[in-house]
Formats: sequence, structure tokens, C-alpha cells
Amino acid sequence: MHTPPTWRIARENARLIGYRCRRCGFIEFPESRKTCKRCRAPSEFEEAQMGVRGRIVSFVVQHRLPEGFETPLPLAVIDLENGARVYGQMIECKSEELEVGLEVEADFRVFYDDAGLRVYSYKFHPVRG
Amino acid sequence: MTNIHGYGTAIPGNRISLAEINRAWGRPGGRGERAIASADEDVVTLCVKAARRALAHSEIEARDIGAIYACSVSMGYSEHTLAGSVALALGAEGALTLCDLGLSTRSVTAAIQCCVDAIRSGRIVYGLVVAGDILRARPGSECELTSGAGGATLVLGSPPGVAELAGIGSHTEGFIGRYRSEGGFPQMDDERFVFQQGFSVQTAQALRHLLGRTGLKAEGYARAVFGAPEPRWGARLAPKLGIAVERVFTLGGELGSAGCAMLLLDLIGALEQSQPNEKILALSWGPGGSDALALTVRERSLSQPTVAEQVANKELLTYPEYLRAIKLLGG
Repeated sequence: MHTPPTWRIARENARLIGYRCRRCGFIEFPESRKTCKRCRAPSEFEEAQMGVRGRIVSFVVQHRLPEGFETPLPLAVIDLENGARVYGQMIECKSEELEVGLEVEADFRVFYDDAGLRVYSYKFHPVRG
Repeated sequence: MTNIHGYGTAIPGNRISLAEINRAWGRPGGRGERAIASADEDVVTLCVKAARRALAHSEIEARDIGAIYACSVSMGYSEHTLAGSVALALGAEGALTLCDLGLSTRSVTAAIQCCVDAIRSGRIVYGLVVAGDILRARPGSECELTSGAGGATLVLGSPPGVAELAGIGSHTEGFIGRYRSEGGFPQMDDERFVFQQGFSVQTAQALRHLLGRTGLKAEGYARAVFGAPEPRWGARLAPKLGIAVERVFTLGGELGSAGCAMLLLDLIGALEQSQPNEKILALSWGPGGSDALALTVRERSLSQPTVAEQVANKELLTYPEYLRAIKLLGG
């Protein structure tokens, strides 16, 4: 049953909306609204509109993956403009282009197909031009 | 009066040259290119991107949009919503009219007419017309040489904008010409037959209807866009309509046909090159007939990124890479 969990985060997924812990300011994307991962304790959260641009903090290029994944698959940890840290797939770039500090931009893409229903979220590509 | 307040486009960066397609099939020659969506792009992602850019260009907030009219002939679902998917991504919610159209590439001008009617009636102030398609064709077929991809959006409204919609004409016949069964590849009857008996006749009649309403001759329009399924058709027909070939603007040679989005891509490309007070003709065609729109440019305005920038920003694919992108090869 894919619809309930997909629908619960559809709005956040579609608009890059995270949740900011009122106690420590840590922004989570997209799921947590009860327990802060940094405080490791229950907290209150407020919505945080994340920016579409950010910089790579760390990355890895995966070469050996199970069937269904296209390789090489570059993945990166990215700090977005407003302080949120996210993990995402890099697209439209060569592996050798990737470096810590590279400026990237979020792009709305098909994430996966669940029983025929396409699910969308953001992938990242280097800022061009 | 209905006005265009903003526009946005989404043109995939991948291209395949017609020469590369012909080379794969042992055929000589081939001029021009086709836009190819990546495997993780679909009609929704193209339309969302175009709609966001159009809203940014118009400087209108999503909450001020009263209706979204979306059209596509290739969304890939028999039951779903393109307009609703765009609304979710934009943050346009609540008392909002959603309308999904499709089946014929002519539906893009039906969407515009629906939006215009809603604005003129006073029911809404601003509405979006969203169009997107990723056309696939049977490898080796004639249609493979013309099937492109893209998304485009117009923001329409009653207050003064960057261009004014001055009139609409229509002509309807039961002519089909081009069709595609569910899950299949497009089929077109003999190309010359469809051009002569379908496209030429119905487009000319829609234009006649429009010119009768506006009282202006075809020669009075500085540019014309056709959004035709076959990129060369517009220039082939134009002289017979009283439109000089050099006044026809089309991206079809660079992108192929992007289905419902083609008319808007051509129109927005023309708007971005036009000067104030220029008049533009936009003629749609698809199974069922044709609609003709007359527009008057109020100010030259560029959406970001511009059509010209997106056309220039490209990466050429090999034939196997193209087959992987359109999911006809590989997992």
C-alpha cells in the first residue's frame, strides 16, 4: 500500500519544505515532526522553506549496486542555502566533476515508480552558466 | 480583455540529431535535432518546471491562481491528474478549478479558451495554462524523426500584462489524421494526405474565422506560430495563408514536436523576440480541427531561463543513449 506514506510527505517533497526544531534550529527533510535528530529528544517543529541551491559537503559514487540501479550512481550530502542538510542523487554531471564545495541546484524529478505510480522528489545538478 | 502575465518553458537538455537516427537505420542525411527527456523526467516534471518559471516571470503568487488548465497527449496515465500535480507542486490549493485535457494536440488552445472564458466571466482573476509532452515513436518510423519533448506554461489574467489576447477563431471537423492507441506508438496516415486534407484545410478555416472577427488581414501579423506535429508544415502552409515564410517562427527544427506544448514553446519563443505592439498569430492543430489566436505584444519580456538559452544548452546523445532515455532499451 504505497499511497498513505507517499501522500503524507507529498507536499513537503513537492515544495522542498523541511521542519525546523524550535529548540536547536536543526532542519529535517522531509519526515520528522516529533523528535529532533540533533537534540535526540521530542521537540516542537515549524515549517522551513528550503532553498533550491546549495553546496556539496561530501559525496560518493556507487559502482556496484543491485539490479534496477543505473551505475555509476553519484550521491551527495548537500548543505542548502538556508542551513538544511540533505542527501540526494546527482544528475546531469560526470563523476569527475564532483567535488566538495561544488554549487548545485535542486531539480524536480521522478524518484521511483511504486506499483505504476510515479513518485517525485528532488535530485541535484551542478549550477550551470 | 484577457492578457498574458507571464510564461515559462522547460526544454530537456538532451538532443538527438536526425542524422544520428538516420545513421542507426542506414539512411542518408538528416537535418535538425529532437529534444529528449531524461529517463527521470516525465510530463509532470516538465510541466511543474515550466509552471514555476511562469509564476516567477509573472510575479503572481500561487495563492492568486484561480484555475489550472493542463493538457498533454502523453502523460502515461489513463486516470490521474496533471493539473492537480502541478497545483500540489506550486502550492496552489483550496478553491481552485482544475481541468485536465488531452487526446488531441489541439487541446492546448481549448485550455486557453477555457481559461479565457473563466477570466471574462469574472469567476477567476488569474489562471494557468500548462502543456507538456514527451512524444515517443516506434524506432525506425517516420514519427521518430519528429517526436520531441518539452513543457510550457502561460499565466493569463484580466489586469494588463505583457501581451494581450485579441481574438480567437476555431474550425472543427471530424478529421483524425494522427492517432495512437493506449500504450502504443503514434500512427499517421500518409503525410501528404494529412497535410493537405487535414492541417491545411482546418488551419486555413480557423484563421479565416479569426480574421473575420479581428478585421485584420494575415499580412498584418509580424509573426506566426503553428505548433505543428511535423515541424516543416507551418512554413509549407504559410504562403497560402498570406503569411510570408520568414514570419513563421518554430523551434521544431531544433526540438522536434513537443505535442501540446509545441504551440506554447513556439509562441513564447516568438514573444521573447518581439517588440511592443507587434501582432502574433498562433495556430494550433490536432485531431478534430484547429484554433487560431491573435495576440498583441505590450512589452518585450524574457522568462528565465529564456527559450533561446535552453535551445542552446544541449548535449547530443547517441542512438543507444536515446533509446535508454526513452526507456525502449535497458531496465
